[in-house]
Amino acid sequence: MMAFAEANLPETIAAFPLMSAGEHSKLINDTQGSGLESATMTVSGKQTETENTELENRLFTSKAYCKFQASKFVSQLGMEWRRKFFAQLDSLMDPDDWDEDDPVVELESFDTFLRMMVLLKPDRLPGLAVSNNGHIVAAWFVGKDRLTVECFPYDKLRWVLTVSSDGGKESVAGTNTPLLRLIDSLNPYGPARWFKKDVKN
Amino acid sequence: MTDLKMKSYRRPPITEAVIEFRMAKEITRDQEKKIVQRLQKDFPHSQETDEYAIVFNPKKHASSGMAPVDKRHKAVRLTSDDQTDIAIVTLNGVTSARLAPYLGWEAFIEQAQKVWSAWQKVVNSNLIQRIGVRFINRIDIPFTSDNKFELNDYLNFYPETPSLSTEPMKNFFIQVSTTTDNPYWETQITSTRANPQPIPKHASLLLDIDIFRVAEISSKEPDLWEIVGEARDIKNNLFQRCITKKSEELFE
Repeated sequence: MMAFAEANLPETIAAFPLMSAGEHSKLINDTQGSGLESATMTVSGKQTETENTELENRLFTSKAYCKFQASKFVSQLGMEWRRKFFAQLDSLMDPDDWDEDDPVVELESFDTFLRMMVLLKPDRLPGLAVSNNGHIVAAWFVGKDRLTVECFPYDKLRWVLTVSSDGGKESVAGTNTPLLRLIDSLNPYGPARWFKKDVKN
Repeated sequence: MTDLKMKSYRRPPITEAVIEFRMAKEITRDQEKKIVQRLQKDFPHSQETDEYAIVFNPKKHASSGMAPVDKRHKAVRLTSDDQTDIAIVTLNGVTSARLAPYLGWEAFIEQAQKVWSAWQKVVNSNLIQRIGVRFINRIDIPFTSDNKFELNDYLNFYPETPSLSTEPMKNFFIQVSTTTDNPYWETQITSTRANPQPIPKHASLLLDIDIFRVAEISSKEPDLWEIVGEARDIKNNLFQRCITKKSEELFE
């Protein structure tokens, strides 16, 4: 049984929620409403793309977004993964390696990549690259066996693998594969060879 | 109320931890810029955020169908290189925040003290009107074969409804405000489902515990940090009460 006490604190001081620092506080604040009568929009707390199209700013925004989003997954992937991944990102987004006209990473492609990493939880980190259309590409190479996955927005993947066996080389590809179908698609080809350490083919 | 012993977890569920100091007196934009300059050593990346107000007055704007947009400066948001430590400076106060991975109370307070110190060195009058301490937790529940689970298996803080349908609930939002057992502190506890779901094959629940105080706030140290320490104890107590053993197993 609940007893309701009369509120005696000025709403403007007490009840107004703390400013959003991250995505979850913004979700909750937006859901409960600002309590103000005028239609006031607030800008998200995340770093957003600015109108300045200078390459360094675009790369920073892209990198900042990915690091911000990565905080959602650290409990699943661990601190060591985070440390290595951030080092990879810094290297990938080094302005010295980019041309002014190169497209930077599409933000939703990052989301797909991060969710893929949570699903796979690989012991081996992939090499990272960016496709011509701004998608993150993750690649694993073990001997002559390779797996390349291009991360499209909204949990869609394109993948290509090459495996060697006594019969020779076999190449297989998948397009528009839903993220949740990736493991089933790779299973016939022994994906542990790429994802697990100390696995002999 | 019996104090429940706070446990430490191998995988703490905290996704956002926030301390906010809201001041009685507004500062100037010039003072705000000086505070931001002081903070830039630890928070090298900054971005101004603005607030937009659209007020449509039928008498004034009906003929054109257009209403003016009033842009107002809201805050300066500063972040560390890894985007995990955040300071927000407004004309009314300052906020220190940490996203996951949460590294413990001591590290969190150390950052808050730096942020507060930057404010103090610029602003002469430091009458604090409100202190808020807010922790948002995310509980990731692995799907079973039928993708269903009972909320009360994981939370002691959930909506209780009559049988509305044979279909499972899609979403919920529950919020309770009350005074805590320490009469100086109020709390607002919120629970909802994270949307979109960040972790594949998991349902994620959010548990938001917001503790605030508007009376008897000393801005002198160390009294101020002792007061903040009270909020920590209250928050921990409330958190332990809101979760179940099944949730705790997910944090181990």
